[in-house]
Amino acid sequence: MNDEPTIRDDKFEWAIYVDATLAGLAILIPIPLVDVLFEWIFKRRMPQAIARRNGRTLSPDTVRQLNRSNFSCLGCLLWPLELVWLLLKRTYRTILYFLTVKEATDKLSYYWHRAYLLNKMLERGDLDHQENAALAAQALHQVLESVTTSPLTQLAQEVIGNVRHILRSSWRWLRRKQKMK
Amino acid sequence: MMARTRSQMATAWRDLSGYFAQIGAQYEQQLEQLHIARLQESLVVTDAPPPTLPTHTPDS
Repeated sequence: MNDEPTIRDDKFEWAIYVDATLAGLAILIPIPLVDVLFEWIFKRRMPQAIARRNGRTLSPDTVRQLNRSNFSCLGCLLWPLELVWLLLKRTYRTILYFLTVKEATDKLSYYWHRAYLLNKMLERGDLDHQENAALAAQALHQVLESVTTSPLTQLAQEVIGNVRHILRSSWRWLRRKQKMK
Repeated sequence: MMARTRSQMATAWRDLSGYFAQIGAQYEQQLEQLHIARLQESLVVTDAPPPTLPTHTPDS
């Protein structure tokens, strides 16, 4: 393998990134836990949607491996506490919206990376066999964990800025409409 | 909203091909390391000495 990464023209394809974008933006839904639900739905849709875009189908096992979260016995025991913590955090976040913007930026950037890598894995055929798919999924998780800052963050900030503007405008429009009634 | 996002992303993606190549290379490297680790594990299992049979000592 070459040490130098080969620079190729990565043509942007919306179909690959649509679910990633929606998963990242789901956090802006100002209702605690509904945002988590929508993020979960779009995150889970990503592997199969990108596979379809590549003319492939993934086995349920492969999809499960790609969608798995870090799971441990301790995590299972602490799950009720985590849920309470999540609910508190999300409620607090609704009050302090700027925290949401930071988190949404990170998530959007994370999901764009995930979509890019899922597409690459499918192009390389890394998910074609169950045995290799498990290792590929592990490599995916490791790379995603290692990415902290990236040029995508700035773009994510701009996109979220637009969404916030639209949400604010919609809110004002709704209030105006209510006053008119 | 999504149309604007889509066009923003399309513009940015043109300038990010180098960055994505880096991320791709990182993934390939990680996968290769995992493959090597798995290979080494399987070699260790294969090379392990066979379990020694218990030696029968004649009753004194």
